[in-house]
Amino acid sequence: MKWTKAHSLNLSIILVQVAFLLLVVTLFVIPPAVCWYDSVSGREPVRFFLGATLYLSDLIGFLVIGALYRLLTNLRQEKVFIPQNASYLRMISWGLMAIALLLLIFSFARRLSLLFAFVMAFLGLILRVLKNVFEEAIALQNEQDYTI
Amino acid sequence: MALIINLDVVMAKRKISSGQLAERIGITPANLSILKTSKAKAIRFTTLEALCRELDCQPGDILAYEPDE
Repeated sequence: MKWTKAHSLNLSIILVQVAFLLLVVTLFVIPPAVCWYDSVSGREPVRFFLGATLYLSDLIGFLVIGALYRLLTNLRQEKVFIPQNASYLRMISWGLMAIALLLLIFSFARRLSLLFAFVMAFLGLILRVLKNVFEEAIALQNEQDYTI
Repeated sequence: MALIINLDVVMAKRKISSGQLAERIGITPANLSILKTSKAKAIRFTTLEALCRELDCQPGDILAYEPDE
């Protein structure tokens, strides 16, 4: 079987759907996971702090996954360089930056969180640059469409 | 806009409809409409050449420059 663009797009959509399911599962796993972490860490409890960070990150994750899904749906309909897609990328980028901020705040309790915050911020930055490239491409596409 | 498209004036002089002109120069009536209503961002030399050929005119008859106030 030849691997085509459509197959790749379908795989991405399936992965996004799996990620959505994981986020739903995470909502139920957070309370016992936080309790378990406190019991094994042997340090001062961070149950509420960690729980709040994870819940807020999870909710932002839903927005990010929603935007990703709509972006992929547009790509499947061959609507690539449209302003809507640039705003989805902007939304994803800000979502990741917001998660990075939450993890940064949590790093006051656990230093390791700083590493995850950096990774999230870096991903957010990459998506922001991608969004800028998309906006430029949309402008070029617009000019191309109106060249007679 | 500083550039004025006088295509409708030239077309009226030559008594040619949009549909006929679009067919003769090989573009869609929708694109010709974009051109006539000055919504176009650019015009290809090939399109301009075809317009001049079919309307028997010079590029200056179709395009005019008027400085912005």
